[in-house]
Amino acid sequence: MKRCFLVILWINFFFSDILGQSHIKFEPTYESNLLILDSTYSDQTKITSIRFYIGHVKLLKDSQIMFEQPSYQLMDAELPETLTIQTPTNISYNKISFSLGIDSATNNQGALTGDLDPQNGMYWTWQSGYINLKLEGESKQPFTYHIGGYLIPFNTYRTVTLPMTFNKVYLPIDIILQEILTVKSKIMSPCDIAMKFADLLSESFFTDL
Amino acid sequence: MKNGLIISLVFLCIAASNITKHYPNYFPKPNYELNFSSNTYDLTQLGRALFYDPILSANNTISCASCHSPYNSFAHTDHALSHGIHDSIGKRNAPALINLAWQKELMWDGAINHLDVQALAPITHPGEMAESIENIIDKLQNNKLYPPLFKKAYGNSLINSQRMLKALTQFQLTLISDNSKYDKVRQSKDTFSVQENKGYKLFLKHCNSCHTEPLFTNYKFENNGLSIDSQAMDLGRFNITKIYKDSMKFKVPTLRNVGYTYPYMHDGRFKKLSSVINHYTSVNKEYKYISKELNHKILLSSHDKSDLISFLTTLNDRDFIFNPQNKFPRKILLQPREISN
Repeated sequence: MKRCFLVILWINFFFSDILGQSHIKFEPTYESNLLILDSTYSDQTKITSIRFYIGHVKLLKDSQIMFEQPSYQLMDAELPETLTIQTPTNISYNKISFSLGIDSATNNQGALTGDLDPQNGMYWTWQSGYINLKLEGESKQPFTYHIGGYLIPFNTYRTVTLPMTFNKVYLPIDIILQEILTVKSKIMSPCDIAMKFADLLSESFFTDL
Repeated sequence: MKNGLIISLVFLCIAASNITKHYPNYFPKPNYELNFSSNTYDLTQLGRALFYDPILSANNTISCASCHSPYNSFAHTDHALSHGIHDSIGKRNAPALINLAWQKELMWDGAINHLDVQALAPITHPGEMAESIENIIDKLQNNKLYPPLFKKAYGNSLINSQRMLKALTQFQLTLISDNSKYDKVRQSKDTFSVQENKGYKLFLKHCNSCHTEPLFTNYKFENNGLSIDSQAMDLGRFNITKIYKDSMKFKVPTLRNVGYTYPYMHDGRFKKLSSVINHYTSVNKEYKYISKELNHKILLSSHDKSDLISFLTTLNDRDFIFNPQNKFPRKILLQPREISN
């Protein structure tokens, strides 16, 4: 059994070596497992949508940058392939840093395309600015969290740095909801509570260490 | 050889004249890069077609020009508040779309940070054009008119939101009003009458600190002492910053073409310029958070008021209002345009 596992692991490494690529995966979790959308959990909570922007991903060995991807990626739990960031295989690292959300300079650039196309539904049309994270679902009552804002004092852009040796970054949705549901069930504009939610989100990410 | 040299020199001169400034030298540097060379002609025409085409609204009845008419300096005369789809009434007066290249923030409360993304607000507003960007892209792709226009403008017929929005921006950046009598006087091509000159002096004393020449706005947000509209309950800039001292602040509008853009104020409450001036001479200085520029009493005799209005009419730019380049593009939009496939 153990041998079989090793062989699979070896094949895995072998093929990623050929392609010269590996990846980092962002996984929203619920009750310590990969989040399944639209499934009702034991606490009667159902998540219908979670989407967020991850950008400026850096893999570091101590303080040396081994890999950097300055662009933004729209991650959507409904489309698992969007949760993955491709990285080279031939690097070792012990730290990851990334941003949650879109920085102020990018917010001021006018019409953009690709993952930053306003058509993706992650842009406020009535007040300029990207929505950095959308979390929607129900827990006894419906909840809607659209967290964004790039202007001081409501700049919800956050940078996260975590130790990391393997390739997964987890976002525990159940723990975040425990904190926020009792405070507010709807956040849909840049404001004080959106700032607190952004702090909570950026502190909730964890890795395999 | 010599002929070739002359031809290329002529070419160079034409190219150079195409990229010369399209605004007077007393205008400040714009916030947007202006490119009105022959290379961007097709992009401007695409933007112009989109601006006048009701295809941008859910039921194909409302275009940008519905509330921003060229004959009103791209504002909406006689309508205090903007009108939208299914006869809905908005909560603000449609402002003049001129000299936008000099604006840092758009809308009365500065909610929008870039001209590219401004159009998203009226397009998606349920009471204005009530349409989704996705649907518009779909409609444009399936309309015989647009793929060739995008191809001309961008080199290929790909239609996406960025291309659509940037074309609208390009057309709106061409809307520069700089040929009023005031401009002609500044350029020594004309002179003010005695009355206009008196009005100009009064203007410099009482109005210029906010409606700063030569653009006749400082583009700042100010509270001019208007009472809140009890129906709209519009707090203006406060809605964006959530700072109390910003309540009832609205962007200072330009006074260029002021004769074409009545009614006045963010909610169009004043029909006449004389009512606007009477507001400033009678405004309550005790009003909370009122602009410091209004701290001193503005005293004007009825003669002064007439003189001031006489000066303000020199800001009307008839050449701009009747410029055929700004109008409904008949040649493009009145083509047969049945839906393909």
